[in-house]
Amino acid sequence: MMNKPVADKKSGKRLNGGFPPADVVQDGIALRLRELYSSLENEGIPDNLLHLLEKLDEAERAQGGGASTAEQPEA
Amino acid sequence: MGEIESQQAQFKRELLKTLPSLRAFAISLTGTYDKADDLVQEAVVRAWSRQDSFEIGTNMKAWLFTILRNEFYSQMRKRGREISDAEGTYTAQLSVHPNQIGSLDMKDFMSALNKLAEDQREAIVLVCASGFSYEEAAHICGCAVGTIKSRINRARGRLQELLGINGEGDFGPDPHIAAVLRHSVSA
Repeated sequence: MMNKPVADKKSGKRLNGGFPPADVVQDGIALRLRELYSSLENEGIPDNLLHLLEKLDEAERAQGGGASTAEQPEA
Repeated sequence: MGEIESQQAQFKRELLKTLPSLRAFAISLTGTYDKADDLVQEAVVRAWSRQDSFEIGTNMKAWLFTILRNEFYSQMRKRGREISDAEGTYTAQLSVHPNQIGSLDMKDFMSALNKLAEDQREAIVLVCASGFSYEEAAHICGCAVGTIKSRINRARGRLQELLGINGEGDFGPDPHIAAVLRHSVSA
């Protein structure tokens, strides 16, 4: 359950080298927060979300490519 | 599909890569798994519908986080503040996933995190956990860098108060990680 951020390849490339700015890292709070966040990230992607992506993909293919226009972007 | 990956495939691949972190952010924002998963779904649908406006090669993670955050606040405005549960639901829901958040220490930490004001919570999560710089976090939250910094300071103060710890010298359950982190940052 202890996740070493340094070895955390699963969640993909992190911005900023994966570390908070130097002046906030020296703190038990930040470390616990990272630990919590890593454990949440490592839970993986729920099936319903993967299904949603598949459906979006299929809908797009059925439309003959191009982004769906059903959803209007919000400013 | 030829040798050049289609824009659409690239988009989807980048999206998938970012999802675990996006979901962790959503859980931090909403305080519950159910609401977080709804929120992530909404954000994914919205991002998908706007993929033409995303430039491949630019910061997909910041783009997605911004969409999710906007979605969160627009839902909050619609439904009032019930989205943000105070205490209780968070830890109750999390206990459904016993293998993940094992330690009592983490549960205490989460419930403390959930007591923060949203603006403070998102600032500390974005910078200290999601891996964004102050500048990126400010961009995502639509505020000044100084505002992000002061929100993080207030968040830390409040968390220390809630957890009854004093920041200096308290490195939580694993001093080794603290040492590694300190080393990596100074290296």
